[in-house]
Amino acid sequence: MHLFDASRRFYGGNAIVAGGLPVAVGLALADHMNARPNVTACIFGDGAMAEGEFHESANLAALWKLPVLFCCENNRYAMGTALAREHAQTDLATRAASYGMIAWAVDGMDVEAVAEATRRAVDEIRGGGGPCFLELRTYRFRAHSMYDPDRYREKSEIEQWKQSDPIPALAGRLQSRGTLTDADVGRWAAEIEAEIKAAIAAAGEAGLEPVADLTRFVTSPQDSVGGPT
Amino acid sequence: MTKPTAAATAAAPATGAATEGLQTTYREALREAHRDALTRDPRVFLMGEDVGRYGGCFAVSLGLLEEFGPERIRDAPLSESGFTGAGIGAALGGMRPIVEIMTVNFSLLAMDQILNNAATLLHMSGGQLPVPLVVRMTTGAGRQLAAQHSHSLEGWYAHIPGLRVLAPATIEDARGMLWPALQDPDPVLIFEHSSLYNLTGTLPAGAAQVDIARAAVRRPGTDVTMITYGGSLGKVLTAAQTLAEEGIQAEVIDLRVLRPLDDEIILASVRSTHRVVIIDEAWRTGSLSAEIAARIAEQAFYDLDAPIERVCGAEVPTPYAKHLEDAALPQPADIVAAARRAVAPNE
Repeated sequence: MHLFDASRRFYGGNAIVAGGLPVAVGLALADHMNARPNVTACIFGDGAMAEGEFHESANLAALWKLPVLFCCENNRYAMGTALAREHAQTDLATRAASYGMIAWAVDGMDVEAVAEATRRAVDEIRGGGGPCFLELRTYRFRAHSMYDPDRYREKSEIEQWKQSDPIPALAGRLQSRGTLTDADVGRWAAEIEAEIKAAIAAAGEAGLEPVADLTRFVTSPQDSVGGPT
Repeated sequence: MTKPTAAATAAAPATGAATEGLQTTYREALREAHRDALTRDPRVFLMGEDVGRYGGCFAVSLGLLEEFGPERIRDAPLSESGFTGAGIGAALGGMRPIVEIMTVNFSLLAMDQILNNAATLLHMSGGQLPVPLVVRMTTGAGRQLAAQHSHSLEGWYAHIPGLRVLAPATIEDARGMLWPALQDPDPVLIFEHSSLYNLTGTLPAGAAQVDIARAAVRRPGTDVTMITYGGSLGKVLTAAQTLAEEGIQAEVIDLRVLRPLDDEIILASVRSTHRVVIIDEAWRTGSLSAEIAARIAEQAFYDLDAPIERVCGAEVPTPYAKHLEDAALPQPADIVAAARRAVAPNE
């Protein structure tokens, strides 16, 4: 969650649900004011749609016609609260459309459908019409966190959704078209596993951050700021 | 549309020479500071409720829409969290936003953005994401605006690491704090006391830029140190005049910067007078006045000749009725009485 990479314009996850949405609007505002062709994508869950910050952000982005792509990963649970127990209107794309922006519901288990919808949405945004909203209808196979005993849903529901797991589904489709071979799939799986293992090993081997750095970056190094002029 | 470029970072020299030495008001000084910043740096823009067509709730930005256009004098919907967060994002995107929030009470709707994003992103991102944002808001009571428009909550913000918190109490600081605040790579909050906008005075030369790091001695004295800021400064200076007529020479410190606090000036004065009165319109419990008292007790306990006195706002939601609002706020007579107690604690 707390990952950042400014060099890639990746402004991080946010542990306050919907707290990153106004920031995304501001990044898009800066692009708009500088006539830069960027699009800012913000990715959030169905739970964020109940937060005021979603509605404030959707209104601001649509009002000012800012280049924001709102991607709602609707996995049907806000932590342990099911969609119908948190939203009066469970059709999230319909709610987003009420702000006067293009809003599509997409099968979030279909990688190609998501790619195609995203491409269309980005084209729309680049056309200058303002933000777009994608409701990506999907599911979370695992518990919300390692502390979550997962008591709020049926095991049979999880198993049913696993039947449409997007990764094997895409691999199967590509294999049936002849785009991908069994050997490709096996090689990629091995490469990905090796990459993850290497990342875990590298993190484990890296030394702990020095305690002396505890207060580093509370404020910027600012020798010249604030002093008498 | 304004199209700032990378070249815009090389700022033009300060304007405003025409206003120096002239009679002006706190409000006009703030407006001139905005005009100056908007002129010098195309990355600067003002965003908030009614800052444009209305001219600003307290008329600070009156006329700036006509001068700089709706992109840079940007009316925002009533969504404090949304537009404050948008200010943070715009700052991350290379702009230098000034976000105006009508009153500090409304800022509670934006506190998530101010604390969890503006004050925190630099540290959480390992130094990758400084947030050069300025947020201005009105604070304080005295205008019969009642409990949801009148509180002094700047101390809550002064609690937060990562923020710089300013309280201009003079026309000079109203004119001069904005530009250095915009140069700070980190978020700066500026609290303007609502009773100060009509303050009239002369703008000294060189006021286009003041320091935003130090407290200031507004009146030198030898007998008692009176520490205050913002809207209480005038009352404290009035009290100091009364005390002078009784032969008590009060030294008046205007904090100016509520975070980080300027311990040096505070402690130097306490070591010279040995007596302290802290005057803060905010509530007493868990307050900035408590923090200052604690620092003095920690660092200058053996220099004190009398208990530290505090004159604070009554711990009630600020009343509407004039006589009750007056009773809820520190008044010069209360300050004089506290100073007398500090000077002669056994009488």
